[in-house]
Amino acid sequence: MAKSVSPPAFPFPAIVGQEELKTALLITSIDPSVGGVLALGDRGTGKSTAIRALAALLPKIDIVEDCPYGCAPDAPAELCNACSAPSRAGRKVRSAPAPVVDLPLGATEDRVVGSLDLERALAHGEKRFQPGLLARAHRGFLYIDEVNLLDDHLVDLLLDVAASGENLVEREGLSVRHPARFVLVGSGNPEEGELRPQLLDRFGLSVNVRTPTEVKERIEVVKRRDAFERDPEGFAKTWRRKENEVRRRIERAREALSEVTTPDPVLERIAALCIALGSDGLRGELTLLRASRAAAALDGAAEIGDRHVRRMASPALSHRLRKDPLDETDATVRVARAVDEVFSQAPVS
Amino acid sequence: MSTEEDAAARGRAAWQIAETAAQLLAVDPAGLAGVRVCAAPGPARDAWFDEASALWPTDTPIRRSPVDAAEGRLIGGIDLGATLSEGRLVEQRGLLADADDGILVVRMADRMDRSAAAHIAAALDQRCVHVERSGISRVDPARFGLVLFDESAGPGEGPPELLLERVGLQVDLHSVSIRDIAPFASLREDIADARAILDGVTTAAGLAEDIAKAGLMLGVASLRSLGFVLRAARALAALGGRDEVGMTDAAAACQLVYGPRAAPPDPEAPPPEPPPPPSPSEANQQVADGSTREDVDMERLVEAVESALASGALDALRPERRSARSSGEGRSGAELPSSRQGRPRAARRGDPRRDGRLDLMGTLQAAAPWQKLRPRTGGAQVAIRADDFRVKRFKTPAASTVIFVVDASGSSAMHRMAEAKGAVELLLSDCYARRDCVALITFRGEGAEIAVAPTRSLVMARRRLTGLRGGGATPLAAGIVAASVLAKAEHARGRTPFLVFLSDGRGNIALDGARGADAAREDAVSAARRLRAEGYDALFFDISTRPSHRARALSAEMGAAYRPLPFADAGVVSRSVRRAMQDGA
Repeated sequence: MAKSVSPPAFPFPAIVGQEELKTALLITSIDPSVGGVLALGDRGTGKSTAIRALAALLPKIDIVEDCPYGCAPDAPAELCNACSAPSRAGRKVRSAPAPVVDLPLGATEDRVVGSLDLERALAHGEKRFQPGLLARAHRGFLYIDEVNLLDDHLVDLLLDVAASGENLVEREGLSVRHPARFVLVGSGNPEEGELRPQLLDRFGLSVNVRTPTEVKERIEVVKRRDAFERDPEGFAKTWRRKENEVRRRIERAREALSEVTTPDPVLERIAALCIALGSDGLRGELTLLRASRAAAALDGAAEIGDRHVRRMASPALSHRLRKDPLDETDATVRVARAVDEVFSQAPVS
Repeated sequence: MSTEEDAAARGRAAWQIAETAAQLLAVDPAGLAGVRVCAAPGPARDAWFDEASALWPTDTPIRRSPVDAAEGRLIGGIDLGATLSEGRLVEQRGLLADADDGILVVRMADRMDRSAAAHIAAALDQRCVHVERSGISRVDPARFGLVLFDESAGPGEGPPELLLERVGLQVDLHSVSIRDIAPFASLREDIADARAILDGVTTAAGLAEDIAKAGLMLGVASLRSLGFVLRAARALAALGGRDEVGMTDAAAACQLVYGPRAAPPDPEAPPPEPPPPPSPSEANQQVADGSTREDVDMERLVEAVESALASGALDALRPERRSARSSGEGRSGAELPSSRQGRPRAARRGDPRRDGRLDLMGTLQAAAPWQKLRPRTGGAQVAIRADDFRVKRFKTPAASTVIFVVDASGSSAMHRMAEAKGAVELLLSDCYARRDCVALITFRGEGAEIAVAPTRSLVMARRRLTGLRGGGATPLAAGIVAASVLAKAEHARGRTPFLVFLSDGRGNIALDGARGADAAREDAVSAARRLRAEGYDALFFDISTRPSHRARALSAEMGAAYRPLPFADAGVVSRSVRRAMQDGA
């Protein structure tokens, strides 16, 4: 199979502005259980640039050597069939980059879920499974650009796998089951088409990306883009140190995450906020809690504070509000209002 | 000057611009991404392309994409013939990868479908093609300059917006006659010289800021456009042998790049208000002061573009309805969802007896690599198994709901009701065939009501229609609000609302039920604006006896197409609704 190297990605720290999107990506890298990021916004605002930059930031992961699915050696419950076999004792472990997998335009179902390995079958008459993109994304991120235009049957398939954490393949006489836990990251332009509500709800955080209107900022964006395009490798190199710093921040925050405590008043605030906004279901509450905790860990704080909840309220809740056809107010504005209201009621303990 | 001389001058000017664009593309193909050439097929276009390709390095690969290029042909996939004859999986590179380091030409780009456009756009963004299909997984570099030949005749047509957004240059050859065609003054060597110094060309920080401000002033919000202007200015300087971008370079670059994208310059132009420049605070204040030196430069840049706009030379390049939309960019004209939905669809595995039509090529491609392994039975040339079956899926155009919003008050004569009823009935029979729905909202007296809920049933709708009555005051705002509520509800159910208003644009009942023309008008206008923000397509029939300014203004506020129709009959209404829906689709 032809394998070639794609050009280097634009470095994450070199992205000008887009603070909300960058924070959301960091939060979900710190705690994947927050559940992915959806970036919606104008054309040409660098949504996909920021997301593709994520790969270079993620700390490496330990995987079972030779495992096609990149199983985690320390999580026996999630191992694939081969790794959980009795003979697995003594398997080597190596460290590898966490995957950020692009679901390209026009990807066919067989490449997404995996299929029979043709080369093997033809050359050796051997029936072997060739893992697809879902397997490649295991323990990492699956990125879908123009997610609102994704074919319905692929959306169903992704939702199913994302919910079960397992990919089940029954085709070409194969019957394969392997773990596929990944964080969905999507981007799109809402003017091109509405996102299906089922899919909307699967994203933990959602951010609106707007074209910057500050002249200086606009120029800086274009300048850096330009410098990158002229010399991608050189540009990436000048940002490598900053990139490493961000990675260390993620690592530190991951370690601190389980130590971060949640004061009761914060829990009450989160609940009050969700009630005030009438956001559907428990998912919003849980996401806001997790995202706030990750934000606290990112700050190096010992416990979740009001500021963390305030910061994560909009990305965690704005896409879960029930739509009111008569209310023209932007969802983020509605969240901000509710936040002010809830936080003005009781003094911070 | 006679009109003839006038036309000749214009033709020569257009040719000049086209030459500059060709030079710029040759100097910086990756940076400017491409050029859209508006022209009918003919000598002007051929001459331009010949001259332009003479500027490219001698070994530049030139690939032509047919307008209906299949997905596999564009991005690559399985080579059916070779796979069958060799009995192993043979991959084939696509046109996009073949055009790497070269030029990709698309004829009839205005007819290109969304799927092909999306692939080309992705390649322009990532400079590579990522293929994951039919057992193939690969990434090929694809850095190419794109030449879009746009043969569209009128405004509102044109190549898909997502491609226009991504090509830096646009030229119009319609006014160029054979006499105006002249060989380009520049040579391949000149381009090579410019390329050699391009990377060293600088732009003073102040000038770059002016260029950015000018873009905001002109209502060009896209950051890609700003990037293109700066690139074009540098390329122009390089062509002139300068190592710094000068004012003339900047002005010419602004004309070339901002011109076709700018908001309408005429403030008196009728109601569709131009989108506010995204940063009014900063940019506007400084213009008002007019004090600093940079502002003078910035104004010169804006003027350069506006004079080009005023000359009409850019008219063919500008999308007609762009400014009527809320965001000022983005939505391509009157595009309706049926053409919007269109992430490329790959052939899908399935059972043709159940899932639709057999995709013969897809099935053969799926079966091809296996032929060596499969025993032939009964003398079959190709052994095909159930797993190979691929089915074609047809885009089901999203069903529409046509929502009639009819003034049933006393001010609107009773016979309007009859016309509306007739039109709804005519459309119903039409929509029945198209699987569209029809709904009717009337407003009179105290408020609006849904007289016919969205339905496909002829019988039910007719029964409801016959029972309708008119008369009373005119709660216009309530009618618009009811329409937007229903439209949103339909949208949420996956249908595309299409709104048809029949009104004279005069209300006398405010939203809160109070009488009074002023409050009523205010409410109506704000309801209309809110409706426009939703971006639904709408038609507004002005049913007053004489076309009224008020109705026209209101229809503009809601982003509706305006039709004065003093003597409407049911047939006319239903015909123009049908036409409006087809134009969009």
